[in-house]
Amino acid sequence: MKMSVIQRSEFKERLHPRIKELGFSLNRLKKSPLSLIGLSLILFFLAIAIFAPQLAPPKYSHNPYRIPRDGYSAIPRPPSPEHPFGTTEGQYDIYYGVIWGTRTAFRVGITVVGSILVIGIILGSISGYYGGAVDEIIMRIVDTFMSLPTLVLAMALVSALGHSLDNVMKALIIVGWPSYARLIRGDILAVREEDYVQAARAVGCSNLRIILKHVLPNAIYPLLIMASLDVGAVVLTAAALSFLGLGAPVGYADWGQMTSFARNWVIGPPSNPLAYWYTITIPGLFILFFVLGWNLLGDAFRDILDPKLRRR
Amino acid sequence: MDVLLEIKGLKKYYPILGGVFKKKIGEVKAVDGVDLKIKKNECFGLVGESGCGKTTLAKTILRLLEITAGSIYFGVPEKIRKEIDSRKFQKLKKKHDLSTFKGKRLKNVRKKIQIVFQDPSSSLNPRMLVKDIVAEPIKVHKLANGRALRERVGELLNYVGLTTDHFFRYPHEFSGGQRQRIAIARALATSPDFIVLDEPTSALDVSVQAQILNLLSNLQKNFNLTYLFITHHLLVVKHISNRVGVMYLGKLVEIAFTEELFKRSLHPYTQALLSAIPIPDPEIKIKRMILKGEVPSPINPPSGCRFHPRCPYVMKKCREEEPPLINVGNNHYVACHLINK
Amino acid sequence: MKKLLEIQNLKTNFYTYEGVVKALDGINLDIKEGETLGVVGETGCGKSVTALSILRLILPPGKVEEGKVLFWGKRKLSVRDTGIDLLSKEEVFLREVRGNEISMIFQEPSSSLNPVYSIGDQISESFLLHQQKELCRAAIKEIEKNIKENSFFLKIFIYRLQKKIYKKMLDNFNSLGIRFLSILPLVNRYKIWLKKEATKRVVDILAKLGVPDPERVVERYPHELSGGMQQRVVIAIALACNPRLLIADEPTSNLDVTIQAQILDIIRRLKEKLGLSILFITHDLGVVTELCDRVAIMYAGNICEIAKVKELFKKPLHPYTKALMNSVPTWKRKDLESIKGNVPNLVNPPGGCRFHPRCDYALKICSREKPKIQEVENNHWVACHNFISG
Repeated sequence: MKMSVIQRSEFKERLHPRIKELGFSLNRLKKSPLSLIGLSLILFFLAIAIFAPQLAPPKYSHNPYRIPRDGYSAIPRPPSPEHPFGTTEGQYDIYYGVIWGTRTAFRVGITVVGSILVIGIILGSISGYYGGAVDEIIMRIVDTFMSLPTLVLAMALVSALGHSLDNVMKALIIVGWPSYARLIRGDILAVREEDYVQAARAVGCSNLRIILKHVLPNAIYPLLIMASLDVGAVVLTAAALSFLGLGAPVGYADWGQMTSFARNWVIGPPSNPLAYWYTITIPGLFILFFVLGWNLLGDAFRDILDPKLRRR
Repeated sequence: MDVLLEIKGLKKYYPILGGVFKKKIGEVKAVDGVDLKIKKNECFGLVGESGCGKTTLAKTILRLLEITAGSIYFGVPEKIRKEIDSRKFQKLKKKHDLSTFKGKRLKNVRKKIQIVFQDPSSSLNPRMLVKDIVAEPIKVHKLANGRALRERVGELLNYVGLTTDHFFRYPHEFSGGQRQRIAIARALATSPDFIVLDEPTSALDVSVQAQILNLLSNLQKNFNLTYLFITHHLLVVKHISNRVGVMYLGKLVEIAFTEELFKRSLHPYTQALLSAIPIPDPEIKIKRMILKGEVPSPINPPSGCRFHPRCPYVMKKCREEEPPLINVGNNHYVACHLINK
Repeated sequence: MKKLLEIQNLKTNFYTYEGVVKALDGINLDIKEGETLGVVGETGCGKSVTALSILRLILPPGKVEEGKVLFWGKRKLSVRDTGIDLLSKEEVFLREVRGNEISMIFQEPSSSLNPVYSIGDQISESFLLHQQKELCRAAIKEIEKNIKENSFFLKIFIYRLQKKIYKKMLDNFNSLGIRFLSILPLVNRYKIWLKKEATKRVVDILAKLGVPDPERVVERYPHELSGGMQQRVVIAIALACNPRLLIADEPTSNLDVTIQAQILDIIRRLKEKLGLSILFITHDLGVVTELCDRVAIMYAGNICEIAKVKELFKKPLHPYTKALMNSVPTWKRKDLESIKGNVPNLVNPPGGCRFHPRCDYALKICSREKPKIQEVENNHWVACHNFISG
């Protein structure tokens, strides 16, 4: 191997301080039961998403997100051995829908949050570090976006762009980045005046280097906390849009889509109002626990990251 | 001896913005006209209390802050400075005045001037390993790479009394004194000629302070460094500097050789300052000069001599006219009407 | 001189993730009435922890493990011979002691003051907590004076009612009825008398501390004052109820030299006028020389040496004391000697005497056995095997 002995031991030694830090964080995680619950929920959903092909073998192999239909009747049928969670309006299999919907949820959540993180960080960093006119312009744009209610704006954008899950994601990205930009700008304004940033300037570091190596690593923690909380919120909003019919196309494996099917069947006939509980409750429970898991995880991040900063 | 750094008429004003349209309604005159010459290989001590502008002065020399007026000449030979003095060659001034440097020229100068900050816990990036912190100046100026870089970092840590075992640790794993050593190692990385030390021992314990001061003396001898040592602790400055300057409210009120200043201080503020130091020796009883009042705000400094509201020897002239800094012999400068009658 | 406070074998630990920090390892100190005891040590030696332990202000993860803090207070509560052990009393009792008999001032004046309350409110809080009966009586006297001077019958009626309320407050300041009355919008104007009395006393004490224009300062907020002024306010809060003991934890370390001179001057004058005992914690030997009668030197949770100030500077015995004195820059000193090594990690302190790894005079026994503090000469105590007999 090209790596000399010194370099390999360097690598191992280099790991050690970081591993120590990780150990400290995991230890704190252990102490908080809610964080463990959150973490287990997310791992549970992750397992479902990864093993979706095994848990619910796709009928249409070229497009596994098309939920198989067992007939064309509009009336949902209750859970049975062939359809473990029952079928919803149009005889779409609920079980299949929620299993593959997990993959959709992860895709939507992580793509949207990842994108708004990147956009927010770039624009917020430029705004915070350079200040002046650039800062004013970017902040006014942020203000404009934040003055409009997010759900309404997202609905308007999706209506304009056309109904599809991708457009829902684009709309959520456009609507979501301003708060991140504002948050990171605030943190950068604080970190910018710290002595070690001044020291880096005195050494002759370029502005880009200072932002990447000094400012961002220290300012990014509140953002990560917000991001993990937001994954849940984004999935919830996307589900809401799909529920209204503005999101994924009919028959797509998406939790919001499934709740959209249940719109007419929330309350059954007067003799048995809860007859079709499974159409709304099961997708609803999946959404609930997914969002709950991310919320608890975000709280856990806050708990482990804050004392770290405090310890420093 | 050659003058390494000359500051002429340096002013740093912070504007105060007020009103709906953020108009300038006043100024904080942090540094209000400072002239200073620091010679090569000397340690110049700058003392003053909080709010006198010494840290601001340090930061403007480093170009961490932009000055409002004045010039800074670093490493400019005397002949050229004399010519600029005569105001004939503005272009020449631009060529040499550090306060106007930009881009690559500024970056080059940064190799030669470095700074050590007061608080070692906040002057080191808490997320960087020690070896990266010390290596950064070398990387930025592309002075060494790979193995040579590693060796240089090890060398620097050895100079300040640390070892290569400390490469892979974070700053928070060290004590205050050790962190300050890391900061000093970082300052030495590019082999500078001039180091500004902004209260380097104020945040440290007494015995650690002694270690750091001894270290700084040794480094100065070994590497032919010039220091600007800023502190509020007069006994520390007495120990380490050759010459001392006393600042009050943005201006220099007295400059002298260290021995001279402590034996025969002339300015009333200096005398009050010296008499206020608690002496760790029960046999000595000093007559303490207690100044009345507080340090005035730099937004509205008093008219005439800035010290006059608190001066026990105030005369009528002091309220009207500002005393200039005059050489009263043996390179002892004072700005006081009483002395310069 | 009579004893005021005696600390016996105080041990305090902090339970952290990295392990148990043995901050105090059996401290023995005593302060006599009217004397100023200086406690000198560097960062991490445990001087602040000692002060907080005395007043039982140590919060988890810290815990006072062992020891007694005997206090001879000003009220007739104590059995004259043995004093009361503050560490074994209930919290309610301690609250009577804090601020009233033992006060504490801290290093940062700007963070010792609450930024959203005015200066007057903060100082009078002390009066309102500990001197309720006196304030009520004074308020009643004020009301009676006003009744005599006034002739408008409605006003007299209101005054009489308010006087009744104050008489009730004399019995029980915080009874349910009084608390109810203090919420009712118009009725709670009776509190004006209390406030007037308190403000009078606040102005009085600020004037004693040399604060210019105290009537206006009372209405100001902490951020409007300078550092020296804020520290004076902090001292005012501490001395409002005439405590017997003042614990000062590095009160002048953050102040400019000239302001520090002013504050030390004030403390010295108060010491003489009020007969105050002071436990003065600092790292500055010069301040100690000026203000203190006796000095205790601390290192890593132990007391190394206690002596009168003059004696200590003339003849320092403990190696740490000697090294400390040689590392302080003075007017005459040419070379500063530093102490080799570093302050030990208190999770795993060195065995035996905690200073022995850095000591130039270490003997074999120093690494095995911890030296007990002994009186080596007249009122000069050292904890060092080099001086212990037998």
